[in-house]
Amino acid sequence: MKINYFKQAWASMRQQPVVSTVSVIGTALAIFLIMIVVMILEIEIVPFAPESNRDRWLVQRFGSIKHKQWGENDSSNGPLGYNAIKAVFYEMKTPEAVTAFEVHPEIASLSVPGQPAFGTEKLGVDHGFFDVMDFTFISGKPFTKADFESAIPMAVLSESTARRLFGSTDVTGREFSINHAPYRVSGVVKDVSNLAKLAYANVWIPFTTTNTAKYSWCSYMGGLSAVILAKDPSDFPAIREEYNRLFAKLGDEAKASGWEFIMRDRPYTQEVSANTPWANSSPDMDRVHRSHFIIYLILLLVPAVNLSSMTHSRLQRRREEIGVRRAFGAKRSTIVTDIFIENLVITILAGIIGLILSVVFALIWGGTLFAPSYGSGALTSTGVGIGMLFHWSTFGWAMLFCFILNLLSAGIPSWQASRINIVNAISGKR
Amino acid sequence: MKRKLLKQIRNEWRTNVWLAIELLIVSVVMWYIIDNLYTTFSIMNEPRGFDTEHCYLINSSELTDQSPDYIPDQTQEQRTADLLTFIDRLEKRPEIECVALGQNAYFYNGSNSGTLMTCDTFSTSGAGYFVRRYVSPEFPKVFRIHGANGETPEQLSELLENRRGFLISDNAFKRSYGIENMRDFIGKDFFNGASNDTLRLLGAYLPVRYNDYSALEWAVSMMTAYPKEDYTGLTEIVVRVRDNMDTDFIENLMKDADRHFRIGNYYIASVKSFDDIRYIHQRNESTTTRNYIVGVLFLLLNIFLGLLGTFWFRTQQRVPEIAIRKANGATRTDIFRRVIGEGLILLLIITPVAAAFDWVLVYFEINTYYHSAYFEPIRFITCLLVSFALMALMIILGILIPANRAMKIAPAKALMDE
Repeated sequence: MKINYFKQAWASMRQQPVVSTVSVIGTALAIFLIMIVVMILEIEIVPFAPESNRDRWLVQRFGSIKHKQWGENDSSNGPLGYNAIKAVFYEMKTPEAVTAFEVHPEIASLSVPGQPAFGTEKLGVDHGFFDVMDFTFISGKPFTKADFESAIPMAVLSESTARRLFGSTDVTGREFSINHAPYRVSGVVKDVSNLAKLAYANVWIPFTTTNTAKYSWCSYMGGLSAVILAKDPSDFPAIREEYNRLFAKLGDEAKASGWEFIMRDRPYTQEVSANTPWANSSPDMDRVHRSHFIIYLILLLVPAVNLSSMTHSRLQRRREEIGVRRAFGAKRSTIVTDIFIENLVITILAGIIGLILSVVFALIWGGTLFAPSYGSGALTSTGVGIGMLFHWSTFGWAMLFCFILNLLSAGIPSWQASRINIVNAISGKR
Repeated sequence: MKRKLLKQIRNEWRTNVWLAIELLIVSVVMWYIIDNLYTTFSIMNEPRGFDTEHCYLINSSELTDQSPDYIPDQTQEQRTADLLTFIDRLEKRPEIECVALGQNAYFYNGSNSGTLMTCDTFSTSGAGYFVRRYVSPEFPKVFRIHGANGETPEQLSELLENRRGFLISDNAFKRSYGIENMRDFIGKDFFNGASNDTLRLLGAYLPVRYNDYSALEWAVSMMTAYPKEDYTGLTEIVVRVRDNMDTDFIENLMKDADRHFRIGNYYIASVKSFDDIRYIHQRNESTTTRNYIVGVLFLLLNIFLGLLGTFWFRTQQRVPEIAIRKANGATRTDIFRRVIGEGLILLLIITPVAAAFDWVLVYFEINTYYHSAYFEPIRFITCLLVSFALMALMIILGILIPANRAMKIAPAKALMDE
């Protein structure tokens, strides 16, 4: 027998309007909350401009080192120095691009003559930063490799900072001062959301023009992070090999002065990097996945049990119908499949409502929902847009969770319904 | 009547098992969250020991050779003199009450230094992370830190003027030795592990907590003041603004920054209020608390919906039964009590089971650690009662609508079908 599942679902919902509405609200609520959790976790990992290539990144936010005179478990962990960056990252041939930049933006005072200075986030970067990050230039262009190497005081400004300084965005070549030192605007880019944790700042300058390039201790550690951009994620093994080889070479040199690098499985993919916030810990993705699993489990299990009880109630009302179908030769598997699919139609419908609500909620409340970058002086996150929140993977997750929820909530009731005694069911006995 | 209710619950066992499972899962998860929130809110209500209201952090820095204004080859004396002028000008502003300096000292600061203070056979090693604050003597005045023996912040400031001495939090030896206060140690010499020198204990202050989410029991610390000639080693400048003079403080100061605060190589890069610093510093903790509260609401809403749905169906099915009861003289209130009673009895039955599961969480130390324990009888019972009460409330609310409908059934009409 061919069944139009949509019609069937609709008819069944109309028969029990209150219980069906409650089921739909329960499902939508569950999917809503799960998707909020998914978005909070995904916003750290999925690509969005200017961190558009996160899936091709290998990230080295920190390095770790120990000295032979230290205790067994002692280590020092933090950003790398310029020497280590030059010896490892700038020597790499396999990647499409590499960049080194200051570990956190810093509040700097910006001013033009005749106006009060204001503080905003400044990040020291290299020329490769603009190859790895995907900035949209409104005017001008990034500073060049030559500018970077000769420490020419050039700066890229964000659109809103350019407006605040000069009242306009067409300001390439204009002069202003950062912490009382003169800089020239090389370009203006679209504002960056402070959820782009590595790219975020309001003014980017060559770090060779700051103290960061000179700041270092034990000649390998300092104030810099790095990102390697692979041509394709399939190049990761080759890049790691090259990385390990170059680090081993630097390690040999360091050994002479008693230092030894601790690798901690670096560099990390963006997912691992986002979940390994501390410099002194090695990634423990099993633990991270386990804790995510428990959160999802609770968010799914409670509504599933809930919905299950309601599905069970609904099916009680349809015992006669199922009995008749069984009497006319419907297989148990057919009954189970039909009930399951019919229920899935309702679940997906409610799931889509939940998903839409979660995106709308995140767009309105995103400022406080998502935590901005550590170095950002802002209290709330900025520039939360639909492009950051909604990806086909998000939709995929929502559908997967709907399916699991349905499996949990309709599975047992439909199995029970398929096993009813035909004679009792038709005669109305319980 | 009661026994009949139990029998009825047994007759509906299939759906009741679902409800019971749901209530059980929710009860355990809820207890875990309430336990966490209970400790969080208890900690937040503990005395903080400092006050950051009307306080600001002046982010000052020194020019580099990139700047045309940079003065090269300054002597240490010149730098110190510049810094002292800088502080003096801040102090002269009418809205500023006092100015202090510090090194990894201000509150809600992610950067900390620790030390180990030893006196005879006593040391702070078992006390937790023992925070060391290098400050200028005005530090207690800015953050209104009070002495353990009733000293005012001003009196603590005077004590700190003694350059070979230090102040300690009154609970420094409490955890390890059960010594309630440091009165007997005042005047004694301590060895400072961080700088390998000896400092004399000048007094004790009421413990200052690390932040709003960190418990008082871990709040151990010391303060020692730098002499004026070493002030350049203290990189943090904090100010207290007079009450009610906060309006546009940051804007006004930044407006004058270039004219009044470009001294030697010093300049002001930015000014931040401690309200903001605190918010940013505690973002992780406050987000976790928020998520837990949302979790509780989600669970409660689920119970509400679950009971609403199930009992709606149930009262619908039981129309004839309720009608017979009514025909035999049951009042509306009787019917109402009966329907609600069914839900509450279910909750009563699962609560001891849930308590057993909660106990397992305590036994494996999965719940929250507070007051040096995972289990405190009062906390355990309070959290159990709170989750019971919240769930009972949701059960009543959820059943209210179907029960109301049941009450309105007209016996004659309902029995017409029979």
